[in-house]
Amino acid sequence: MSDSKYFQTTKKGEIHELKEELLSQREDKKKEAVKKVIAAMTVGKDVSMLFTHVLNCMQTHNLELKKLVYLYVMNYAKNHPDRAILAVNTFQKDASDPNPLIRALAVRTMGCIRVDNITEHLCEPLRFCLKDQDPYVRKTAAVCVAKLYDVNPELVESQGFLAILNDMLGDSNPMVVANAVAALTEIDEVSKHEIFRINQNNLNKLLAALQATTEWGQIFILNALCKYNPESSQEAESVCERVTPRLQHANSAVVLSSIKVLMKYMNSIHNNDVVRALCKKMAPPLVTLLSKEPEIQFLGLRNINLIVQKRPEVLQYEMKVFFCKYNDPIYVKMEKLEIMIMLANEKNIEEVLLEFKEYATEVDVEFVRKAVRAIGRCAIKIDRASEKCIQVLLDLITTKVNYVVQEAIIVIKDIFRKYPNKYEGVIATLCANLESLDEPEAKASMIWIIGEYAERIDNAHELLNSFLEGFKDENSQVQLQLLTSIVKLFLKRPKDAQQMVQTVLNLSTQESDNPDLRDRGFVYWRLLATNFEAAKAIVLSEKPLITDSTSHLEDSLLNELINNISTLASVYHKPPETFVTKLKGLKRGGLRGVRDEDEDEEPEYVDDDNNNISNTMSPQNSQQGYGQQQQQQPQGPQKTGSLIDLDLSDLNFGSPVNNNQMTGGYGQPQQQQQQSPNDLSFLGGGGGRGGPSTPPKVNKVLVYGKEPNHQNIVISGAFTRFNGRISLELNLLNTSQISMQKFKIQFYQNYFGITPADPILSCGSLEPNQQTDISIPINTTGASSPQMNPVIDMCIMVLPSQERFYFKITFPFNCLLTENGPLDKESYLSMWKSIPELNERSRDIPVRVQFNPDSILKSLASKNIFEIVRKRVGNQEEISFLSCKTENSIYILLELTFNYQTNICRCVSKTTSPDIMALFEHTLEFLINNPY
Amino acid sequence: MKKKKIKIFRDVIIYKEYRFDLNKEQCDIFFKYISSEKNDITPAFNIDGINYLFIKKRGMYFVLTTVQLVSPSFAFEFLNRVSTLIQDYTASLTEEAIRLNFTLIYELLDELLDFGFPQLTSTESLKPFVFTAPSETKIRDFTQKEESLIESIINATTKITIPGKSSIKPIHQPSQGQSQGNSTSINPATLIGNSLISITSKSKSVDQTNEIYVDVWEHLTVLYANNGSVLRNEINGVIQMKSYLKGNPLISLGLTEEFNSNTVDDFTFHECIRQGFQDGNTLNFQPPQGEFNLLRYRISNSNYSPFLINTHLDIQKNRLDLVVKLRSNFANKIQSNRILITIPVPKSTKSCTHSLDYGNGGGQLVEYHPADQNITWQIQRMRGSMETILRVRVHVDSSTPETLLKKEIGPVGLEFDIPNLSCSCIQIKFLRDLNSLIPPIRWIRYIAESKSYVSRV
Repeated sequence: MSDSKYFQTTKKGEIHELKEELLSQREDKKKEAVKKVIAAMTVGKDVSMLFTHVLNCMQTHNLELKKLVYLYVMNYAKNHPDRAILAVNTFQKDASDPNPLIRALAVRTMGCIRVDNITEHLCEPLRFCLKDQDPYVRKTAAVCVAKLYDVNPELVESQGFLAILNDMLGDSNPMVVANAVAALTEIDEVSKHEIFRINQNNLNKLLAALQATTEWGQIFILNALCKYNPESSQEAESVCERVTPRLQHANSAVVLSSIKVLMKYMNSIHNNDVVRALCKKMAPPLVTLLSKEPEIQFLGLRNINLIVQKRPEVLQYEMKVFFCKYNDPIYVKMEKLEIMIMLANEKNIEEVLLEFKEYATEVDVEFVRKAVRAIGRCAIKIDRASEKCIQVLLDLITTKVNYVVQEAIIVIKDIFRKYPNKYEGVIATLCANLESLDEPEAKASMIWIIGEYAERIDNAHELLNSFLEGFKDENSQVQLQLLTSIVKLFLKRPKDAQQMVQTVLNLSTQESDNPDLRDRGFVYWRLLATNFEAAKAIVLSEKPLITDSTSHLEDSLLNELINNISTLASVYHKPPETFVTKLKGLKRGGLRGVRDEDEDEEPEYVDDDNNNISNTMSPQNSQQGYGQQQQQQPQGPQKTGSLIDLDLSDLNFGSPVNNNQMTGGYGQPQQQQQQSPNDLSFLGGGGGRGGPSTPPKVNKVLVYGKEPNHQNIVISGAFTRFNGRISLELNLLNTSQISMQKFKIQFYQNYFGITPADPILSCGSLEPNQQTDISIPINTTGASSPQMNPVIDMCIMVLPSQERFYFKITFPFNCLLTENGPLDKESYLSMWKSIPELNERSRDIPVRVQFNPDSILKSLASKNIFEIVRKRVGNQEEISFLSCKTENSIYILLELTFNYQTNICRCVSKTTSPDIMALFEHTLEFLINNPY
Repeated sequence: MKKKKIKIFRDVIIYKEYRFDLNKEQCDIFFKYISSEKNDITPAFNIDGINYLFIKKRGMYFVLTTVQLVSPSFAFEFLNRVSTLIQDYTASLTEEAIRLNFTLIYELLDELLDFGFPQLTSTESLKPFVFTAPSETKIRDFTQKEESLIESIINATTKITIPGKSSIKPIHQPSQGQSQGNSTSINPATLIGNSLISITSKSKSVDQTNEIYVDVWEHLTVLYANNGSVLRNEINGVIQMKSYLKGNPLISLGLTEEFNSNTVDDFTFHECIRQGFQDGNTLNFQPPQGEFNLLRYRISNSNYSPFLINTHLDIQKNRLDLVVKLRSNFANKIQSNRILITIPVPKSTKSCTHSLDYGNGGGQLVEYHPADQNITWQIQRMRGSMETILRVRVHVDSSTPETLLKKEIGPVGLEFDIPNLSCSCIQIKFLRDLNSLIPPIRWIRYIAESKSYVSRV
C-alpha cells in the first residue's frame, strides 16, 4: 500500500467516486478516500465540494481516520474559514473525549481556524483542556492560547487565559512548562502590557524544568531566562551554575542559548574568579561548534565575533582552532580570518603572520585579498608587529601576482598613515611595481604615497606625470587622488610641478563632468592663487593617526547583539528591528538580501565615531550631500547607482511627447505631463527583417525641460532600431534667448556599452524658439560596466559654453536584438539543453490586449524575437518557442505558453547571461501588451 | 513562526504551514533566489522581511521560512532532525519514500511543531502518535556492506554512504490495536512524563531484531609545516548509534581509559545521557530507537598521525623537483582505503613528469591535470608500516620569480579513510544490557578519516 497512487491524475467522475467512498460504511474505504482528497488538495485541486462528506467521517473511533480528517480540516480552514465553522461542534465534542490524544488533536486543530466569530466557541473547551489531567493535552492547550491570541488578543486577555498560562509555569510536567514559556514569550513580544515577568518565584520553576525538558524546551526556557535581571551576584552565580551543564548539549542551539544566558548573567557577578571560571567553561563548547556542519560553523563564528569583542578573554588562548582548514567553505574562511585578526596579539603574531602568508597564496582571489589586508590590519593593530608585517608584505610583492601586489600597496598606504616617517625605505620597492597597478584603489593608494612622500622620491614628478597622461580615462577616485598629490608635490617642490599643477587643475575644473573633482579643483586653485603659505599649511597639515576599528561594533549595538546571541540578528550583525517586519503590505519579488548591505568588507579607518564611518583619506563622502547643494544638477552623475532600480516604473521616464505637438513651443510639455508616468512608450522603435523601408515613427519622450530648473532647452528623444542600426532620435527646442550651436553628446558608461558614434552632433545652429530633429547613430562597442543594472541612465548634452544638460533616457532592450536571431529546431533544442538549469527563469505575463497569440507573435517578430515552432496543448494552451540574439551574441531562448482560460502568457526563458533577463522580461511584457 | 517544505526540482512535495502568516508564494521566491544567485548563497537569507533557512540533503531542500527572529542554529538542528525522522520512519530519505508516505509525514509534521514551537522530535517519543503505517520503498541490493550504515558523517556532507541492508527498514510499525482508538491502550501521560526516555512503547515492531550498530568515527584535521613539524593535529570524534533494541533496555557503554579530560578537550552528549560519565568512563543510557549521535568529542592536540608525510623541494631556474614520501604509521594488519593526494602546481607549469620509487604497485595512479593545475596521486589501498615515494619534476616558465613558484606549489593534501583504526585510542570496552544477561547483538566499527590532512611544501 502506498500513498503515491493518490497523486494519479484525475479521471472523470472522480469526485463522484470519492463521494461514494466517503459515504461507505467501511472505515478502510473511508480512509483511502480521505487520503485521496488530501492528496488532491496538496496538488492544488479543488475538493471543497467534498467538505461536508469528509467532515462526517470525523465521527469515528478509528484514530488514523480521525487524524486524516483533522489534517484535511486544518488545511481547508485556511482557504474556507467560513465553512470550517461547521466543524465547531465536532471540536467541542472531541475536546471532552475520553482519549487524551483526541482531546489534544481537537485543541490543536481548532486553534488553526482563524475566524473571529468562531473563537468564542472555543474558549470553554480550551479552558478545560488547560486544566486537563493529561500533560499532553495541557501542553497542546498552552500553545493554543498563543494561537488564539494571534487572532483575538482581547478575548484571550478577558478570558484570563494569560493568568492560567503563568500558573502553568509551575506545572509538574517540564514539557508543559516549556510550552507555556514559549507561548508567554511570544505573546509578550506583541502585547502592549508586560504579561510575562520572571520573578524569583517562577525563576526556580523554570530552572527546575530546564534540567528535565526536551532540548527545544530548554531553548525556550534559556531564552526566557534572559528576560530576568538577577537581584544579586549570588543569584546570578547560581543561575549560571544551573545553566553551564547545558553547554555540553549536542544541540548547537541549546549551546548558543546557554552562552547567551551566561553572557548576560556574568555582568551581574562581582566575583572575578567566578567570571573567569565561566569564561573558561564557555571556550570549549564554542570551539566545538567549529567541528559541526559548515552552516553551524558559520553561525558559531558570527557569534564568536561578538563574544570576542565583548569578552576577549573567553577565547584568548584559542588562536589555532581558527586557522583555516584546507577544505573550509569560503564563507567560513572569511569569518575565521576576521577572528584571527581580533585575537592577534604580540605573543601570537608570528604564528598568525605565517598563516596569513600561506593564505595569500591560495586560489580564491577574494580570500587572498582579505588575507593581505589582514596582514595590514595586524600591523596597524599591534605596533611591535608592524615591522614584521611590512616584511611579509614586501615578500608578497616579490611574487608579482597582480592582485596581491595591489592589495599590499593599499594596506601599506594605511600602515604609512599609522606610522608616518617610519617605513619610507620600502617606497622604492613599491615604485618598482607601478606598471602592475590597474585597480583604482591600488592606484589611488600609490598616488597618495607618492604625494605624501614627494620630497623623498626623486622622480616623484615623473611618476605622477605618467599617471597624469591617462587622467581622463581614470576612475574618479584616482583622479581625485592625483589632483591632491600633484598639489602636494607642487607645494613641496614648486619648480618640478608648476606645469603639472596647471594641467591637472585645468583637467579637473574644465574637462571633467564630475562635480566632486571640479569642486576640489576649484578649491585648490583658489587656495593656491590666494596664498601659497596658507595652502601649504592646509594641504600639508599633519593628519590624525588611524586605528584599526574596522570590525568593532559600537557599544550599544554590540550589547544589543550580545542579547540576541544565537538569533538571526547575531548572524547579520544588525539589530532585529531592522529586518524583522510584520508582513503587512508585503510585496513579492525584489531579490534583496539583508546581508548585502553590510557586505562591505573594506577596512575603513574610522575617527572614533562609528556611526559615521568614513574613509578619511578620500573625501568622496562629500558627494553624499552633493545633490542637495547643486540645484542645477539635481542628480549628480556620481549618484547614478541610486537612480537605478529594477522596477522600471519607479524611474519616472516623463511623458511621451508627440513629435508634431512640439511645434507649440515651450510650455506645452507641462500639460502633457498629466499622462501616466508609467507609460512605457519609450519602447517604440523596431524594424525587423523585411520591415518597412522607411523608418517607423518614433515616439519621442520628453527627457529634459520638464523640471522647473530645466532651462534653456527642451529635449525629447528615444532609441530606435532600424535595418540593424541603432540610433538615438532627438528633438531639440531652444527656449533660451541666444542661439545655440556645436552640440556634443556623451553617455555615461553603461551596461550595454553603447556610445554615440560621433559625439559631435550634425546639426547647425539652433536659434531661439527653433526646434530640430537629429538622428544620432549609436555604437555598441563602448566599454560596458558589468556591475551596473541594465538600465541606461544618463546622457549629457554639452554646449561649447560649457553649459551641460543632464538627462536620462531608457534604452529599450529590444533595440539590442539583432536581425539574425532565428534558430532552427535542432540548434534551439541543443542550446536549451546546454544552458544550465540554474539559468532558467519563469514569469507570468498577464495579457491585457486582445488574447491573440498570432498577432502577438507577429509583433514580437517585428522586434526581432522570432518564433521557431508552435504547438497546441489541449484546448486551453498554446506553446510557442522563440529565440533572439543580442548585439553581443547572447542568445535568449523563450518558451511562451498562452493560456486561453486565464489570459496569461507564461514565459520560461534560458540564457547564458541571466543578469540581463530582468530587463528583458520587462521589455517582453511591454511588447506583448503593446503590439506594434 | 515557521513553515517547512521539502522540495525537489522545483516541486514542492510536502508543504506545511504552522502560523498562517506566509503562503505558498515563498516556495517560488525561494527557488528563484537559489537559482539566480551564483556562488554566494548563504544557508540563511532574508527577502522582504522573510527569513529563509535551508539545508540540502539527497538533492532535496528542506526549507524553513519565518518572519520571526529565530535562532538559525535552532532551525538547522530542527531541519536535520526532520530529515532523520523521515529516514527513520520511512526507511530511506528519498523523494520516492516521501511521496509514498506523505500522510505519514504530515502526521509527523503535525506532532513535531505546533504553531512553530518544536514539540516531540525524537523517533522514539513520536511513536505513540503516529498511526499511519510506512510503505516501504523497494530495497535495493546493497552489497557494499562495509559502507557506513549511518548516513551523516561529520564534516563530510558530500560523501554518500549507502546504508547496509540490515538497517534499511523503518523503525516503527504501528500496532493493529493502536489505531482502534481504544483509549486505554495508550496513555500519553506517561509518554511525556518525567523523562522522555522512560517511554515504554506499546507498539510491537514486526520483525525487530535485538541489534545495535555502533560506529566510532574520527575525523582528523592535520597540518604539517614545511619543516615537518606538526602545526595542528585535531580529532573530531563521534560515536554514532542505530538501535533496533527490543524494549527500552538500559545500556551501559564502557570506554577505554583514554577517554578522560586530560586528552579530550570537549565533548557533548545526546540527550538520552542524563548523568554524564559514571566511574570516569562508563555511560548509562536508554538508547532511543533509530539513528543518533551518542557522543561527540574533540581532541585539539593529538600526538598521533596515521600518515607521515615528508616533502623536499628543489627549485632550479626553470624547473621544480618535489619529492613526497608517504609512510603509513599504523599496524600492518590495518589497511587504508582510497588515499587521494593532491599537489597543486604553479600556474606557469609547462609540463610534469613523475616517478614512483616502488613502481605502480598497490593500485597507484599519478596524473597531472593542466586544467586544475594540480597533480593527483591515488593509492587504492595501503597497509600499515609501508612507505611509498613520489618524485615529481615540474617544468615551468623560467621568467616566473622563485618566490612565486615556492608559493604556488603545494600544499600536499591527503584524503583517506582507514577502517578499524582509532587515532585517539578511544575504544568501546563493553556494551551491555544492564537488565539482561543476554547481551544484544552489537556491530561495532571504527573509522578514521580525513579530508583535511595537509603538508605545506
